[in-house]
Amino acid sequence: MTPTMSVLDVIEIPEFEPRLPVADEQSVLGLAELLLKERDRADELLLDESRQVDLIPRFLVLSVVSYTAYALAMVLLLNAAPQEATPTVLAAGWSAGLKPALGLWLAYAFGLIAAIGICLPSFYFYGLLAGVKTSFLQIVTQCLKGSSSTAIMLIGVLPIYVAVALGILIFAAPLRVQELVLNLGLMLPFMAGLWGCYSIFRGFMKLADTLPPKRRERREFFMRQLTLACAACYTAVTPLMIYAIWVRFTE
Amino acid sequence: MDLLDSSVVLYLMMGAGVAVAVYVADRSGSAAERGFRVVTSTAFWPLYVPILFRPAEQTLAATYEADPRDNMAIAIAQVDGELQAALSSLGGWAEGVLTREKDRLGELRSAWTAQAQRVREMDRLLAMPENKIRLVAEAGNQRAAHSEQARQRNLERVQKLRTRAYDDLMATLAWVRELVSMIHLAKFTGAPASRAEDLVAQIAAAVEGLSEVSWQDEPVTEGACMSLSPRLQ
Repeated sequence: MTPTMSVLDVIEIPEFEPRLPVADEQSVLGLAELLLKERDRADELLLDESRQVDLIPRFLVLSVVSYTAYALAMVLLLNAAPQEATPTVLAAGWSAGLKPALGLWLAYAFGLIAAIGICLPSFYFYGLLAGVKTSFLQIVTQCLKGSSSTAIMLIGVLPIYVAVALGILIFAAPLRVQELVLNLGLMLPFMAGLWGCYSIFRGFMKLADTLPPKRRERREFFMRQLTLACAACYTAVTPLMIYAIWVRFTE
Repeated sequence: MDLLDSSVVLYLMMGAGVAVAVYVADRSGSAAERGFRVVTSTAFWPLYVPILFRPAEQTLAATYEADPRDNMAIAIAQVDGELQAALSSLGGWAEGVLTREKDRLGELRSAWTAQAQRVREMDRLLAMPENKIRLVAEAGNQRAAHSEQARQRNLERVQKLRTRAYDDLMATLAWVRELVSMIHLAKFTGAPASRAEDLVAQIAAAVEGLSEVSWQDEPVTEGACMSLSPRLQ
Protein backbone atom coordinates (compact mmCIF):
# COMPACT_ATOMS: atom_id res chain seq x y z
CA MET A 1 0.00 0.00 0.00
CA THR A 2 1.44 3.36 -0.96
CA PRO A 3 1.89 5.63 2.05
CA THR A 4 0.31 9.06 2.23
CA MET A 5 1.63 11.96 4.22
CA SER A 6 0.84 15.54 5.04
CA VAL A 7 3.48 18.23 4.88
CA LEU A 8 1.92 21.47 5.94
CA ASP A 9 -1.11 22.79 7.66
CA VAL A 10 -3.93 23.56 5.29
CA ILE A 11 -4.15 27.24 4.41
CA GLU A 12 -6.33 29.21 2.06
CA ILE A 13 -6.15 27.82 -1.44
CA PRO A 14 -4.18 30.00 -3.84
CA GLU A 15 -5.39 30.51 -7.37
CA PHE A 16 -3.45 28.39 -9.83
CA GLU A 17 -2.67 29.38 -13.34
CA PRO A 18 -4.59 27.20 -15.80
CA ARG A 19 -2.46 24.42 -17.27
CA LEU A 20 -1.64 24.49 -20.94
CA PRO A 21 -3.63 21.86 -22.82
CA VAL A 22 -1.73 18.64 -23.50
CA ALA A 23 -0.90 18.13 -27.18
CA ASP A 24 -3.07 15.60 -28.98
CA GLU A 25 -0.59 12.88 -29.84
CA GLN A 26 -2.98 11.27 -32.30
CA SER A 27 -3.07 14.16 -34.76
CA VAL A 28 -0.46 15.58 -37.12
CA LEU A 29 -0.69 19.06 -35.62
CA GLY A 30 -0.48 17.60 -32.13
CA LEU A 31 2.68 15.82 -33.17
CA ALA A 32 4.15 19.09 -34.46
CA GLU A 33 3.22 20.67 -31.14
CA LEU A 34 4.99 17.87 -29.28
CA LEU A 35 8.13 18.31 -31.37
CA LEU A 36 8.15 21.98 -30.51
CA LYS A 37 7.04 22.06 -26.91
CA GLU A 38 7.45 18.63 -25.35
CA ARG A 39 10.45 17.07 -26.99
CA ASP A 40 11.00 14.63 -24.13
CA ARG A 41 7.49 13.29 -24.60
CA ALA A 42 8.06 13.01 -28.35
CA ASP A 43 11.20 10.99 -27.70
CA GLU A 44 9.30 8.72 -25.33
CA LEU A 45 6.57 8.27 -27.90
CA LEU A 46 9.11 6.93 -30.34
CA LEU A 47 10.20 4.28 -27.86
CA ASP A 48 6.68 2.85 -27.86
CA GLU A 49 6.85 0.18 -30.56
CA SER A 50 3.09 0.04 -31.01
CA ARG A 51 3.01 3.73 -32.03
CA GLN A 52 5.83 3.67 -34.58
CA VAL A 53 3.75 2.41 -37.50
CA ASP A 54 1.23 5.12 -36.86
CA LEU A 55 3.86 7.83 -36.51
CA ILE A 56 5.66 7.29 -39.83
CA PRO A 57 2.88 8.63 -42.12
CA ARG A 58 2.28 11.53 -39.74
CA PHE A 59 5.91 12.55 -39.77
CA LEU A 60 5.81 12.25 -43.56
CA VAL A 61 2.81 14.58 -43.76
CA LEU A 62 4.68 17.18 -41.73
CA SER A 63 7.78 16.91 -43.90
CA VAL A 64 6.01 16.89 -47.29
CA VAL A 65 3.72 19.81 -46.45
CA SER A 66 6.53 21.91 -45.06
CA TYR A 67 8.94 21.24 -47.92
CA THR A 68 6.15 21.95 -50.40
CA ALA A 69 5.47 25.31 -48.76
CA TYR A 70 9.19 26.05 -48.86
CA ALA A 71 9.47 25.09 -52.55
CA LEU A 72 6.47 27.26 -53.38
CA ALA A 73 8.02 30.26 -51.62
CA MET A 74 11.32 29.72 -53.42
CA VAL A 75 9.59 29.44 -56.80
CA LEU A 76 7.78 32.74 -56.18
CA LEU A 77 11.00 34.47 -55.14
CA LEU A 78 12.98 33.08 -58.07
CA ASN A 79 10.27 34.22 -60.46
CA ALA A 80 10.21 37.66 -58.88
CA ALA A 81 14.00 38.04 -59.11
CA PRO A 82 15.70 39.28 -62.27
CA GLN A 83 17.17 36.55 -64.50
CA GLU A 84 20.73 37.75 -63.75
CA ALA A 85 20.23 37.18 -60.01
CA THR A 86 19.25 33.51 -60.41
CA PRO A 87 21.72 31.37 -58.44
CA THR A 88 24.40 29.78 -60.63
CA VAL A 89 23.35 26.28 -59.67
CA LEU A 90 19.86 26.86 -61.10
CA ALA A 91 20.66 29.37 -63.84
CA ALA A 92 20.93 26.85 -66.69
CA GLY A 93 17.50 25.33 -66.13
CA TRP A 94 15.47 28.14 -64.58
CA SER A 95 12.66 29.93 -66.39
CA ALA A 96 9.22 31.21 -65.44
CA GLY A 97 7.49 28.02 -66.67
CA LEU A 98 5.82 25.19 -64.82
CA LYS A 99 8.52 22.60 -65.45
CA PRO A 100 11.33 24.29 -63.47
CA ALA A 101 8.88 25.04 -60.65
CA LEU A 102 7.84 21.39 -60.51
CA GLY A 103 11.48 20.37 -60.72
CA LEU A 104 12.41 22.53 -57.74
CA TRP A 105 9.48 21.20 -55.71
CA LEU A 106 10.31 17.61 -56.59
CA ALA A 107 14.00 18.12 -55.87
CA TYR A 108 13.37 19.44 -52.38
CA ALA A 109 10.17 17.68 -51.29
CA PHE A 110 11.27 14.33 -52.67
CA GLY A 111 15.06 14.67 -52.35
CA LEU A 112 15.17 15.67 -48.71
CA ILE A 113 13.02 12.75 -47.64
CA ALA A 114 14.24 10.13 -50.09
CA ALA A 115 17.83 10.78 -48.97
CA ILE A 116 16.82 9.32 -45.60
CA GLY A 117 16.01 6.05 -47.37
CA ILE A 118 19.50 5.94 -48.83
CA CYS A 119 21.13 6.62 -45.46
CA LEU A 120 18.94 4.23 -43.46
CA PRO A 121 21.20 1.16 -43.65
CA SER A 122 24.14 3.28 -42.45
CA PHE A 123 22.08 4.68 -39.56
CA TYR A 124 20.99 1.20 -38.55
CA PHE A 125 24.55 -0.05 -38.75
CA TYR A 126 25.76 2.89 -36.60
CA GLY A 127 23.10 2.07 -34.01
CA LEU A 128 24.22 -1.54 -33.86
CA LEU A 129 27.84 -0.46 -33.59
CA ALA A 130 26.93 1.66 -30.59
CA GLY A 131 25.39 -1.43 -29.01
CA VAL A 132 21.92 0.12 -28.80
CA LYS A 133 18.93 -2.22 -28.65
CA THR A 134 16.97 -0.92 -31.61
CA SER A 135 15.03 -2.08 -34.63
CA PHE A 136 15.10 -0.91 -38.24
CA LEU A 137 11.61 0.48 -37.76
CA GLN A 138 12.78 2.52 -34.79
CA ILE A 139 15.64 3.96 -36.83
CA VAL A 140 13.18 4.96 -39.58
CA THR A 141 10.97 6.68 -37.01
CA GLN A 142 13.91 8.49 -35.43
CA CYS A 143 15.12 9.73 -38.82
CA LEU A 144 11.64 10.87 -39.84
CA LYS A 145 11.31 12.67 -36.53
CA GLY A 146 14.55 14.48 -37.44
CA SER A 147 13.12 15.31 -40.85
CA SER A 148 9.90 16.61 -39.30
CA SER A 149 11.85 18.74 -36.83
CA THR A 150 13.78 20.18 -39.78
CA ALA A 151 10.50 20.81 -41.59
CA ILE A 152 8.97 22.60 -38.61
CA MET A 153 12.05 24.75 -38.14
CA LEU A 154 12.00 25.53 -41.86
CA ILE A 155 8.41 26.67 -41.68
CA GLY A 156 9.35 28.84 -38.70
CA VAL A 157 12.28 30.48 -40.49
CA LEU A 158 10.61 30.77 -43.89
CA PRO A 159 8.42 33.85 -43.23
CA ILE A 160 11.42 35.78 -41.95
CA TYR A 161 13.49 34.76 -44.94
CA VAL A 162 10.71 35.59 -47.43
CA ALA A 163 10.22 39.00 -45.83
CA VAL A 164 13.93 39.78 -46.07
CA ALA A 165 14.24 38.42 -49.63
CA LEU A 166 11.16 40.31 -50.82
CA GLY A 167 12.53 43.50 -49.31
CA ILE A 168 15.78 43.04 -51.16
CA LEU A 169 13.99 42.32 -54.44
CA ILE A 170 11.49 45.18 -54.11
CA PHE A 171 14.13 47.75 -53.22
CA ALA A 172 16.30 46.47 -56.07
CA ALA A 173 19.43 45.71 -54.10
CA PRO A 174 22.57 45.03 -56.17
CA LEU A 175 22.34 41.84 -58.25
CA ARG A 176 25.17 40.28 -56.30
CA VAL A 177 23.24 40.72 -53.03
CA GLN A 178 20.06 39.34 -54.59
CA GLU A 179 21.91 36.29 -55.83
CA LEU A 180 23.48 35.82 -52.42
CA VAL A 181 20.07 35.98 -50.71
CA LEU A 182 18.56 33.50 -53.17
CA ASN A 183 21.53 31.18 -52.65
CA LEU A 184 20.93 31.47 -48.95
CA GLY A 185 17.32 30.48 -49.58
CA LEU A 186 18.41 27.33 -51.39
CA MET A 187 20.52 26.43 -48.36
CA LEU A 188 17.76 27.16 -45.86
CA PRO A 189 16.67 23.49 -45.44
CA PHE A 190 20.25 22.58 -44.58
CA MET A 191 20.44 25.28 -41.93
CA ALA A 192 17.11 24.16 -40.50
CA GLY A 193 18.52 20.64 -40.78
CA LEU A 194 20.83 21.38 -37.86
CA TRP A 195 17.74 21.31 -35.68
CA GLY A 196 16.76 17.99 -37.23
CA CYS A 197 20.24 16.62 -36.49
CA TYR A 198 19.88 17.70 -32.89
CA SER A 199 16.50 15.99 -32.75
CA ILE A 200 18.01 12.74 -34.07
CA PHE A 201 20.85 13.12 -31.58
CA ARG A 202 18.35 13.40 -28.72
CA GLY A 203 16.48 10.36 -29.99
CA PHE A 204 19.64 8.28 -30.21
CA MET A 205 20.72 9.36 -26.74
CA LYS A 206 17.33 8.29 -25.44
CA LEU A 207 17.99 4.89 -26.99
CA ALA A 208 21.10 4.74 -24.82
CA ASP A 209 18.69 4.04 -21.94
CA THR A 210 18.45 0.52 -23.33
CA LEU A 211 22.11 -0.03 -22.46
CA PRO A 212 23.20 -1.49 -19.13
CA PRO A 213 24.03 1.38 -16.71
CA LYS A 214 27.69 0.39 -16.46
CA ARG A 215 28.22 0.63 -20.19
CA ARG A 216 25.96 3.61 -20.79
CA GLU A 217 28.46 6.36 -20.02
CA ARG A 218 31.17 4.89 -22.23
CA ARG A 219 28.71 4.22 -25.06
CA GLU A 220 27.14 7.66 -24.91
CA PHE A 221 30.43 9.20 -26.01
CA PHE A 222 30.59 6.75 -28.87
CA MET A 223 26.99 7.52 -29.79
CA ARG A 224 27.71 11.22 -29.99
CA GLN A 225 30.36 10.48 -32.59
CA LEU A 226 28.02 8.15 -34.45
CA THR A 227 25.30 10.80 -34.56
CA LEU A 228 27.84 13.15 -36.07
CA ALA A 229 28.64 10.47 -38.64
CA CYS A 230 24.91 10.12 -39.38
CA ALA A 231 24.59 13.87 -39.87
CA ALA A 232 27.65 13.93 -42.13
CA CYS A 233 26.31 11.04 -44.19
CA TYR A 234 22.92 12.72 -44.65
CA THR A 235 24.50 16.11 -45.41
CA ALA A 236 26.66 14.56 -48.10
CA VAL A 237 23.88 12.58 -49.76
CA THR A 238 21.06 15.14 -49.72
CA PRO A 239 22.54 17.95 -51.86
CA LEU A 240 23.60 15.36 -54.43
CA MET A 241 20.12 13.94 -54.48
CA ILE A 242 18.49 17.36 -54.84
CA TYR A 243 20.86 18.41 -57.59
CA ALA A 244 20.49 15.14 -59.50
CA ILE A 245 16.68 15.40 -59.45
CA TRP A 246 16.75 19.06 -60.46
CA VAL A 247 19.12 18.48 -63.38
CA ARG A 248 17.22 15.41 -64.53
CA PHE A 249 13.88 17.15 -64.42
CA THR A 250 14.92 20.36 -66.16
CA GLU A 251 17.30 19.14 -68.82
CA MET B 1 17.51 4.73 -71.62
CA ASP B 2 20.56 5.46 -69.44
CA LEU B 3 21.44 4.09 -66.03
CA LEU B 4 19.60 6.83 -64.13
CA ASP B 5 16.39 6.33 -66.11
CA SER B 6 16.41 2.57 -65.59
CA SER B 7 17.14 3.12 -61.87
CA VAL B 8 14.13 5.43 -61.61
CA VAL B 9 11.91 2.88 -63.37
CA LEU B 10 13.16 0.13 -61.06
CA TYR B 11 12.66 2.36 -58.03
CA LEU B 12 9.08 3.17 -59.02
CA MET B 13 8.30 -0.48 -59.77
CA MET B 14 9.44 -1.45 -56.31
CA GLY B 15 7.49 1.49 -54.95
CA ALA B 16 4.33 0.24 -56.65
CA GLY B 17 4.85 -3.20 -55.11
CA VAL B 18 5.37 -1.76 -51.65
CA ALA B 19 2.32 0.51 -52.09
CA VAL B 20 0.10 -2.49 -52.85
CA ALA B 21 1.52 -4.34 -49.84
CA VAL B 22 0.98 -1.31 -47.59
CA TYR B 23 -2.60 -0.99 -48.83
CA VAL B 24 -3.34 -4.65 -48.20
CA ALA B 25 -1.56 -4.77 -44.83
CA ASP B 26 -3.13 -1.70 -43.29
CA ARG B 27 -6.65 -0.60 -44.17
CA SER B 28 -7.17 1.47 -41.05
CA GLY B 29 -7.94 5.19 -41.16
CA SER B 30 -9.96 7.32 -43.55
CA ALA B 31 -9.79 7.11 -47.35
CA ALA B 32 -7.54 10.19 -47.39
CA GLU B 33 -5.14 8.60 -44.91
CA ARG B 34 -5.03 5.37 -46.89
CA GLY B 35 -4.50 7.34 -50.09
CA PHE B 36 -1.66 9.30 -48.53
CA ARG B 37 -0.01 6.11 -47.32
CA VAL B 38 -0.25 4.51 -50.77
CA VAL B 39 1.12 7.57 -52.60
CA THR B 40 3.97 8.16 -50.16
CA SER B 41 4.84 4.49 -50.03
CA THR B 42 5.33 4.55 -53.81
CA ALA B 43 7.66 7.53 -53.60
CA PHE B 44 9.36 6.74 -50.28
CA TRP B 45 9.09 2.97 -50.20
CA PRO B 46 12.37 2.38 -48.30
CA LEU B 47 10.71 4.06 -45.32
CA TYR B 48 7.71 1.74 -45.47
CA VAL B 49 9.50 -1.56 -45.97
CA PRO B 50 10.40 -1.90 -42.24
CA ILE B 51 6.68 -1.57 -41.42
CA LEU B 52 5.87 -4.51 -43.68
CA PHE B 53 8.69 -6.61 -42.27
CA ARG B 54 8.13 -5.91 -38.60
CA PRO B 55 7.78 -9.03 -36.44
CA ALA B 56 4.35 -10.68 -36.43
CA GLU B 57 3.83 -10.33 -32.66
CA GLN B 58 4.40 -6.60 -33.03
CA THR B 59 1.63 -6.50 -35.63
CA LEU B 60 -0.62 -8.46 -33.31
CA ALA B 61 0.20 -6.11 -30.46
CA ALA B 62 -0.58 -3.12 -32.65
CA THR B 63 -3.93 -4.66 -33.53
CA TYR B 64 -4.79 -5.14 -29.91
CA GLU B 65 -3.59 -1.66 -29.07
CA ALA B 66 -5.43 0.12 -31.86
CA ASP B 67 -6.91 2.29 -29.15
CA PRO B 68 -4.13 3.02 -26.69
CA ARG B 69 -6.27 5.68 -25.01
CA ASP B 70 -7.65 3.34 -22.39
CA ASN B 71 -8.24 4.54 -18.85
CA MET B 72 -4.65 3.74 -17.84
CA ALA B 73 -3.16 5.72 -20.73
CA ILE B 74 -5.47 8.64 -20.00
CA ALA B 75 -4.60 8.58 -16.30
CA ILE B 76 -0.87 8.42 -17.06
CA ALA B 77 -1.10 11.35 -19.49
CA GLN B 78 -3.12 13.34 -16.96
CA VAL B 79 -0.76 12.75 -14.04
CA ASP B 80 2.32 13.27 -16.19
CA GLY B 81 0.91 16.59 -17.40
CA GLU B 82 0.24 17.71 -13.84
CA LEU B 83 3.67 16.57 -12.74
CA GLN B 84 5.44 18.41 -15.55
CA ALA B 85 3.48 21.56 -14.75
CA ALA B 86 4.43 21.29 -11.07
CA LEU B 87 8.09 20.60 -11.83
CA SER B 88 8.31 23.52 -14.23
CA SER B 89 6.91 25.75 -11.47
CA LEU B 90 9.94 24.86 -9.32
CA GLY B 91 12.26 26.97 -11.51
CA GLY B 92 14.21 29.43 -9.39
CA TRP B 93 13.09 27.79 -6.16
CA ALA B 94 14.33 24.23 -6.01
CA GLU B 95 16.26 23.69 -9.23
CA GLY B 96 18.98 21.65 -7.56
CA VAL B 97 16.74 18.70 -6.92
CA LEU B 98 15.44 18.80 -10.50
CA THR B 99 18.97 18.46 -11.80
CA ARG B 100 19.76 15.66 -9.37
CA GLU B 101 16.58 13.70 -9.99
CA LYS B 102 16.34 14.42 -13.72
CA ASP B 103 17.07 10.84 -14.74
CA ARG B 104 14.73 9.19 -12.25
CA LEU B 105 11.92 11.61 -13.07
CA GLY B 106 12.47 10.88 -16.74
CA GLU B 107 12.10 7.16 -16.04
CA LEU B 108 8.84 7.67 -14.20
CA ARG B 109 6.59 7.93 -17.23
CA SER B 110 8.38 5.03 -18.93
CA ALA B 111 7.80 2.91 -15.82
CA TRP B 112 4.10 3.77 -15.75
CA THR B 113 3.74 3.03 -19.45
CA ALA B 114 5.56 -0.27 -19.01
CA GLN B 115 3.30 -1.22 -16.10
CA ALA B 116 0.18 -0.33 -18.12
CA GLN B 117 1.52 -2.40 -20.98
CA ARG B 118 2.04 -5.32 -18.61
CA VAL B 119 -1.56 -5.07 -17.43
CA ARG B 120 -2.79 -4.96 -21.03
CA GLU B 121 -0.74 -8.04 -21.90
CA MET B 122 -2.22 -9.93 -18.97
CA ASP B 123 -5.72 -8.79 -20.02
CA ARG B 124 -5.01 -10.05 -23.51
CA LEU B 125 -3.83 -13.40 -22.20
CA LEU B 126 -6.85 -13.81 -19.93
CA ALA B 127 -9.22 -12.84 -22.74
CA MET B 128 -7.90 -15.52 -25.11
CA PRO B 129 -10.73 -17.95 -25.93
CA GLU B 130 -8.54 -21.01 -25.34
CA ASN B 131 -8.01 -19.93 -21.74
CA LYS B 132 -11.74 -20.03 -21.11
CA ILE B 133 -12.15 -23.60 -22.26
CA ARG B 134 -12.03 -26.22 -19.53
CA LEU B 135 -10.99 -29.67 -20.65
CA VAL B 136 -13.16 -32.39 -19.20
CA ALA B 137 -10.99 -35.32 -18.26
CA GLU B 138 -12.22 -38.84 -18.85
CA ALA B 139 -13.36 -40.66 -15.74
CA GLY B 140 -10.37 -42.15 -13.97
CA ASN B 141 -7.78 -39.97 -15.68
CA GLN B 142 -6.55 -38.35 -12.49
CA ARG B 143 -3.44 -36.84 -14.02
CA ALA B 144 -5.39 -34.93 -16.68
CA ALA B 145 -7.89 -33.69 -14.11
CA HIS B 146 -5.07 -32.62 -11.81
CA SER B 147 -3.30 -30.72 -14.63
CA GLU B 148 -6.50 -28.96 -15.59
CA GLN B 149 -7.05 -27.87 -11.98
CA ALA B 150 -3.47 -26.62 -11.76
CA ARG B 151 -3.95 -24.75 -15.03
CA GLN B 152 -7.05 -23.05 -13.69
CA ARG B 153 -5.22 -22.11 -10.49
CA ASN B 154 -2.37 -20.59 -12.54
CA LEU B 155 -4.81 -18.55 -14.58
CA GLU B 156 -6.45 -17.33 -11.38
CA ARG B 157 -3.00 -16.35 -10.17
CA VAL B 158 -2.41 -14.38 -13.37
CA GLN B 159 -5.74 -12.66 -12.75
CA LYS B 160 -4.62 -11.73 -9.23
CA LEU B 161 -1.29 -10.47 -10.54
CA ARG B 162 -3.14 -8.35 -13.07
CA THR B 163 -5.35 -6.86 -10.37
CA ARG B 164 -2.33 -6.17 -8.20
CA ALA B 165 -0.37 -4.55 -11.04
CA TYR B 166 -3.35 -2.38 -11.98
CA ASP B 167 -4.01 -1.35 -8.38
CA ASP B 168 -0.33 -0.55 -7.86
CA LEU B 169 -0.26 1.61 -10.98
CA MET B 170 -3.39 3.51 -10.01
CA ALA B 171 -2.20 3.92 -6.42
CA THR B 172 1.16 5.24 -7.58
CA LEU B 173 -0.53 7.69 -9.94
CA ALA B 174 -2.83 8.88 -7.16
CA TRP B 175 0.12 9.23 -4.81
CA VAL B 176 2.09 11.29 -7.33
CA ARG B 177 -0.96 13.53 -7.79
CA GLU B 178 -1.09 13.97 -4.04
CA LEU B 179 2.61 14.88 -3.95
CA VAL B 180 2.12 17.28 -6.87
CA SER B 181 -0.61 19.08 -4.95
CA MET B 182 1.77 19.25 -1.97
CA ILE B 183 4.41 20.89 -4.16
CA HIS B 184 1.93 23.59 -5.13
CA LEU B 185 0.89 24.00 -1.53
CA ALA B 186 4.45 24.18 -0.26
CA LYS B 187 5.35 26.73 -2.89
CA PHE B 188 2.49 29.05 -2.11
CA THR B 189 2.90 28.79 1.64
CA GLY B 190 6.52 29.85 1.34
CA ALA B 191 7.95 26.55 2.56
CA PRO B 192 11.74 26.17 2.37
CA ALA B 193 13.27 24.72 -0.79
CA SER B 194 14.25 21.64 1.19
CA ARG B 195 10.55 20.75 1.46
CA ALA B 196 10.21 20.79 -2.31
CA GLU B 197 13.38 18.74 -2.62
CA ASP B 198 11.91 16.18 -0.26
CA LEU B 199 8.69 15.99 -2.26
CA VAL B 200 10.42 15.73 -5.63
CA ALA B 201 12.68 13.00 -4.27
CA GLN B 202 9.57 11.10 -3.14
CA ILE B 203 8.02 11.48 -6.60
CA ALA B 204 11.21 10.21 -8.20
CA ALA B 205 11.14 7.27 -5.80
CA ALA B 206 7.55 6.47 -6.82
CA VAL B 207 8.94 4.43 -9.69
CA GLU B 208 10.04 1.90 -7.09
CA GLY B 209 6.45 1.60 -5.84
CA LEU B 210 5.41 -0.31 -8.91
CA SER B 211 5.33 -4.02 -8.23
CA GLU B 212 7.74 -6.31 -9.96
CA VAL B 213 6.66 -9.86 -9.40
CA SER B 214 9.31 -12.27 -10.52
CA TRP B 215 8.95 -16.00 -10.96
CA GLN B 216 10.76 -16.56 -7.66
CA ASP B 217 7.87 -14.88 -5.85
CA GLU B 218 5.46 -17.51 -7.07
CA PRO B 219 5.57 -20.85 -5.29
CA VAL B 220 5.91 -23.84 -7.57
CA THR B 221 2.71 -25.80 -7.30
CA GLU B 222 2.23 -29.49 -7.37
CA GLY B 223 0.38 -29.11 -10.63
CA ALA B 224 3.26 -27.22 -12.14
CA CYS B 225 5.63 -30.03 -11.21
CA MET B 226 3.34 -32.53 -12.83
CA SER B 227 2.99 -30.61 -16.03
CA LEU B 228 6.73 -30.05 -16.26
CA SER B 229 7.72 -33.64 -15.69
CA PRO B 230 4.80 -36.00 -15.97
CA ARG B 231 7.05 -39.04 -16.40
CA LEU B 232 8.42 -38.56 -12.92
CA GLN B 233 5.04 -39.23 -11.36
